[in-house]
This record gives sequence, structure tokens and C-alpha cells, in this order.
Amino acid sequence: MGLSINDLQLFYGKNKILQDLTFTVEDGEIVALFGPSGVGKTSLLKMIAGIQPVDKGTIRFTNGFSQASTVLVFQDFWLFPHMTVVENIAFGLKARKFSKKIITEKTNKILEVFDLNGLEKHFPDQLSGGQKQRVALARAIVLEPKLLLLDEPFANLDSHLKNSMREYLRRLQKEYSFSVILVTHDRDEAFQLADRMIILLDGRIQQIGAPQEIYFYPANQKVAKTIGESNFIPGMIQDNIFKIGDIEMIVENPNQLQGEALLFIPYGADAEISETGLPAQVLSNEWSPNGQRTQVKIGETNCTFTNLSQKIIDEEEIFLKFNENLQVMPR
Amino acid sequence: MKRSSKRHYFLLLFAAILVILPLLLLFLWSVSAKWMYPAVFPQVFAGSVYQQMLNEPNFWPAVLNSLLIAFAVTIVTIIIALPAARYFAFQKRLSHRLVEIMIYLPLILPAIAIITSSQVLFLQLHLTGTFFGMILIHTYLCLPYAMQILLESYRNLGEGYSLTAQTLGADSWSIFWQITWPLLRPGITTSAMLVFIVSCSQYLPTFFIGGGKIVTLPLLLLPYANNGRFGLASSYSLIFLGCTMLGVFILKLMIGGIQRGTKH
Amino acid sequence: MNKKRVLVIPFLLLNGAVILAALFKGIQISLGYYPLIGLNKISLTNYQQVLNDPFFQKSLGYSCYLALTATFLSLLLGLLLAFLLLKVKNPWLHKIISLPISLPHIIVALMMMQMIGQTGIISRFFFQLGWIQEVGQFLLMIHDSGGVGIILVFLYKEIPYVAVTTLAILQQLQLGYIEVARNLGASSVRIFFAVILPMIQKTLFTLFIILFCFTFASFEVPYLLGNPSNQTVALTAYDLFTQADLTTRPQAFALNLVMSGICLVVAAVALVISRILPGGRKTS
Repeated sequence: MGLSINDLQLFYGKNKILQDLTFTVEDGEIVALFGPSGVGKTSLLKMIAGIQPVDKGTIRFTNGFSQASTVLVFQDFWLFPHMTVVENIAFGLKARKFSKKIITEKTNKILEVFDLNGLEKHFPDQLSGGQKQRVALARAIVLEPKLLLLDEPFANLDSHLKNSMREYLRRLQKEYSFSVILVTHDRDEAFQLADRMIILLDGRIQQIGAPQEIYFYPANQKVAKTIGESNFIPGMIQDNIFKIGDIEMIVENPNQLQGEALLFIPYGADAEISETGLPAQVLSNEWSPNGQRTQVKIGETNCTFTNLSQKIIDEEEIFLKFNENLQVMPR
Repeated sequence: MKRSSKRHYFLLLFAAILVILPLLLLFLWSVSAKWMYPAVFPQVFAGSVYQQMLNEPNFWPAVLNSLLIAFAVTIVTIIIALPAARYFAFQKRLSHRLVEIMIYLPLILPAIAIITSSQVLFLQLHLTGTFFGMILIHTYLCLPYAMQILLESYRNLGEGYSLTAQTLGADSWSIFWQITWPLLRPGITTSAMLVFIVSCSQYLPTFFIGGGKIVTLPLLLLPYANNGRFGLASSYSLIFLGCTMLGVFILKLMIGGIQRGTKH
Repeated sequence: MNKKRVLVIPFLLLNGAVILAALFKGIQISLGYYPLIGLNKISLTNYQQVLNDPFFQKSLGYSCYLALTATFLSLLLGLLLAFLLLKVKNPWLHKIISLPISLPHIIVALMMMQMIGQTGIISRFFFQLGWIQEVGQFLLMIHDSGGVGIILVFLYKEIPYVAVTTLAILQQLQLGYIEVARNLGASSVRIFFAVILPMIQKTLFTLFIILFCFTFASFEVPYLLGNPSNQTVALTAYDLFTQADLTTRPQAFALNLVMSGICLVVAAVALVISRILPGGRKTS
């Protein structure tokens, strides 16, 4: 296994901020803790790292994982301002009482890997945002941790840096083979990096799964709305048949709903324009570097689609056929 | 805007002159052997007043006691104030106001009331006339000054650095010496200097708890000032100021100055 | 969090020990239990004496007058000085202005005597200018019933202290608020009362408490510059405590506790007012 969290709860004074947190982190996987800011995710990381006491619940380390080999990197980096880059990076090694020779070896290697050569004697106030980020990560990874905890690590970076840093992290993770718990409120970041996502909303875990699973089959409306690319179409559900007006579709009904329900279609649903299917009236078309963004009207509901099989050019009425079964949710 | 800033400048200059003028007077009195009314300048300039002061048998003991007690009090105060300030800076249960009151209590409760009331107990415990007793009562009176500055310093520092050091595997002592102390040094220096000055300036505690055995500079100074012996009182005053400057200077050397990366 | 609480124990121990020692003995003896001189009847007579005796009342009243006057003037002038310091950035002037903070009260009292005493330098100037013909004609400002010299000493010390303390806050003040207010058309006076004052109000009240209590209970300054017929509480207590006659001790202790009580009440009232006024509750 690795890291095992059970029934963890977090209090702030008398308020219960997080409850019933239960999840695991396996060897070598990247788990994204996704949810809006301020919901207690940082405190959760602190508890796992052992720098904040646990109110209720258990945190267990097995299989080579341990609290000592878990390192937390904060959003603000906290590079020690009175130490040079090299001294910052060597700090953890010194704390673990490695010999001078080994410390120099490891620091030199990591400086190379993180492309920090030439900056050894610099102080943090002389570094750019991206450089600071690399030093903060280097300081943690030089310790070869089993588990790396990252608290919104790329939030303070410019958008073009974000992308390169994310790829960087992926490469490092493969090379040094550590697990990562990544706290983020950036959906694209979570989708890009995570092997599994944990959706934290209203103080609870709403869903755990691979990014695609969460995108196409969110557990409830809250999760869907948080991901942000959701269309909800009202209609009637009976067993597996969903009826909108005259049209009947076969859908997934995991909660065995009957009667009034909402059909969930993510923007990126794999949709084909065909002769038959769900009737939709084209409202507008926007171009973006990632593809077309089409607004249509299905029944009374405005919907957005980004993954249509063909490019639409000003057609009034089209029919949509979906290649995978869609899901219904309660109203 | 230029006209008003000139006006502001002169106003401030005027205030500064008001501050310096009395000090100049002090100096003049200390070097005058004869300065009778209504002369505006001393009639006879001489160092004889200083000579008189040095001949006073209690002079050197007073200087020594003042300095020694002040240094000891500074060290004890800082040792007590540092952890307490750290606790108060980062705890979340008590409100800022409540913490303020707890820290300033020795300044709110009348010093004379506390000193005279606790003197009875000091007597019973044979602490009067001892250095230990003096350090005790001085520390009580000096803690608020140190706490105020160190609390602010810790708040400015934040917990981030020490938490990061902790997750990187450092133990408490390492965190203090390698991270906290270097970054806190300017604040520690300022509070040490202030505590030193406050301790040197104390009269009432030394008077009541000193039991007559411990003499410090303020104890010698007060009677001369009271008797209108301006010359002698002024020379004592200047010696006093010189001693505090010396002590403050030594403290600054010992603890250290501005570190890179600290906000002041 | 138990490990962290250990940090504050020495602090609590020291303050607690001294205050409790004073409190315990103070209450004990002032209530009449003083075996050393053979008293062991608990009663409130000492307190009654202190609170009803016109001499004590005068003493308490005079101290209050001095404290209130000195504190209000210091806060007002100190605040003005802070604004000056904000506008004029000359470091030398700043250093000179903060000098009085490190001067002990005894020395400042001495300087005051040398400046405005009847044989002081200003009196001598007046004589030289022919404005007075003899010493006694010079305005009595020390050893006078109004306590002018005393108040001036406290002003000399406390105005810079108030200025330096509020300066730190004013510098941190988000100037953005003031810009916005001005943009919306508010006058300077309005800006001061609606924007600046709530932000510094807490500090000002804390300063008020500290300065009032300190001035109220000050010893050295009234001792040197006071008028024999107008004693402050500290002098009264000092007299009672340095008398060889121990029978006055219980009264002295009662006076101590009354003094402390007044300071605590003033502090409490000030805190309550501060809480009610805008800016009094912590927002973050």
C-alpha cells in the first residue's frame, strides 16, 4: 500500500472543517487533492507531514513509506532568506547528518537536474519566480522522499511556466520514483498530472477516481459543477431509458433513479453529428486553439459542446449521437 | 507641495531642537564649577564636578552594580521572553487584546504598589539585598518591553520557515539556531538594548528591594537632583548616559546586526 | 499542543509569582492581618480610611488630574508628531526625536528643573532681558500646585514614544484606502475620522492605558518636581512605607490595592470603549 488515511477529521475551534476522510496513496502514483481554496487542504497536508497534530482519525504509513521520508513543499516556497541556494538545498541533508562528501555529491547532482548551475551562491531575493520554485522542489527532492506533498506549487507562476513545471514534475517523479499528493484548485493541472483525483467539497470526499472517470462520470451534481464543464438536461428516467420530449435514450443509472432526473453531458462528450439522435439547435460557434466551442439548445436548455465530430458551419438544427452512454443524476 | 513640506521640515527641526536643548544644558552644568544666577553661561568651566563625583566612595560600586544587574536582567529577560513571544505569536485561542493585556500587566499595575507589597515576601524569603532578588524584580518590570518587540518580530517572521525546516527533518534546536535566531536577531538586539536601558534606569525596585546594600546610579542621582545640586546631578546624569550607551553598544556587538533577508 | 505550552511557563511563572506575592500580602495586611505588629482582626477599616480620608482623596484626585492631562496631551501631540515624521524622512531628525524614549525620568526631571525652574536658564534669560527683576518673579512651573513641570516632563518623554509607536502603524496603513476615499470626494477631516482613526484606534487606546497608569503611579517625577501640599498617590504610599512606625502599613497596603484597582478599572473601561468604537473588533 503506502499511505493510508482513515476517518480523518479536522477541526478549527469548534467547527468541523473536514470529516470522513478515507483514502490511500500507492507507490509511485500522483494523487491530486482537488477542491476550492480554503477548504482545509493545506491542513490535511500538514497533518500527513506530521507538523500539525491529528484531531481524530488515523494516518498510517506502510510499505516503505514513513513520515520521516515525507516532505511538504509550501505554496510560498519559504526559501530561507539568509542562506544561499546551495545552503538551502543542503539543509535537509545536513539535518539528516549525512557526511560532507555525500552532501556535496547529492547537491551537485540535483543542481544539475534542476538546471540551477550558476546560481549556487545566490540568495533567494535574487531569484526569479521560476528559479525559486525549482530551488524549493530541489530542496525537497534531494532528500529522495517516498512521498512528496505539494501545496498549490505552481499557483504563483506565470501560465507558460506552469506548463513546463508540470512536465518537469512528471519527469522527476518518473526518475526518482516517489509518490505525490498534489493540492490544487486548478482543474487543468489536476487533469494533466494526476493518476487519481480526490474531489474535496463541503468538507468531505465526494469522489475518488482517475481524471477521465471523474470528468465523464461525476458522482453528483456538486462534483460536476466543480469540474465546470457540465450540461444538465431535464427529463424523465425509467430504469435505463431517459426521455426528453419525444426522444428516448439508453443511459447509465447508477443510483437507480425513477421519474424526474437530469441528464449529465460534459462539454467534451464524444458526440457525433448524424441523421438521427438528440435534436439540438445551433446557437453559436466559437473558435479556440483547443477546438471548436459550440453552443446549442436542447429542449429548453442551453448546452456547450467542445468535442463534436465535425465542424459546424451555421446549421440550424442538428442531431447528436453519443458514443458512450451518458449518466443521469437527481434534480 | 513643496511649500508645505518646507513648513513640515522646520516644524520637525523645531521639535528636534526642543529635544536637544535640555541635554545641552545638562552638559554645561556638568562642566561648570561656578554658575550662579542670573548668569546665562557658566562662570567657571572646570572638571572639578567630575572629580567630586569620582571621589564619592559609592561611585564605582554604583556603576558596576548598574551595569552588572542590567546585563544579567537583559539575559534573563530575553531567555524568558523568546519562547513566550513565540507561543503568543502563533497561538490561535487567545485574542490579540487579551495577549496584550497579559504582556502589559506590569506596566498597568502601579510599580510602587507591586514593589512595596512584594517586599514583605522578599524579606521573608531573604531575597532583599541580593542580586537574585534584584534581577527578579527588574525582570518583572522589563519583560513587557521585550515581549512587545519580540512578539512583533515573531509575527513578522511567520511560521513558514520553521515549519519548512521541520518537514525537511530538522530538530527543534537546529531550527532555532539555524533559522529562527539569525532571522530574529535584529528584533532581539532591539529588545535587549531597550531592556538594558530600562533596567539601568530603575529607582524604586533598587530602593525597596536593594535593602540598602545594593547601590546603583539612579539611587545616587536622585538625592543630588532633589537637593538642587545641578552640577553634580548633571555629571552623574552624563555618566549614566555614557554607561547605558556603552552597555547598548556591547549588546549590539554580542548579538549582532542586520541579517540578509530580514525585514526591519 | 502541550509541547508548545511549555514555552510560556517561565513567563507566566515570573509574572505570576511577583503579582501574586504582591496581591497575597497586600490583601492580607490591608484587611488587618499583620501578626508582626500584633494585628489579627480582619476588617475593612483600612479601606474605609483610605477612601474617606480627604488627604487620600486629594492625593488620588491629583494623580488622576496629572495622568489624564499628560496622557491626553501626549496622545494628541504625539499623533501630530507622527504625521510630521511620516512626511519628513530625514533620518537624523528621526533619531533625535526618539532620544527621550531612552532617557530615564529622573534625568528628564533634572533637565526640566534646569530649564524652567525659577533659577533655570529661561528665568536667567528673562532676567538678562529685564523682564523680571528677581528670582521670585519668574513663573512658578516646578513645585507648583498645577504640576506644570511634572506634566512637561511626561510630555517630553511620552510625545516621542506615542509618535514612534503610531508611526509604525501609519506606515503599514494601506495608502490605497486613503486614495480611494479621496477619489470618492472625501475631505481630509473625513478621511481622518472615517478611515485612519479606526485603524489606529486600538493602538491609541493601548497607549492611553499604559501612559495613564504609568503617569498615575509615577514616583520619581512628582518626588522631584512636586508641590509639598499636593501629593501624588505614589508619594503618599512611599511616605507611608518609609516610616518607621509599622502601624501605618495596613493603610499603605490598602492604598496600594486601591491604586491598582483604579488602574485596572481605567484599563477595563478603555478596552470596552475601544471595542465598541469602529475598528475595535478584529476583522481577520
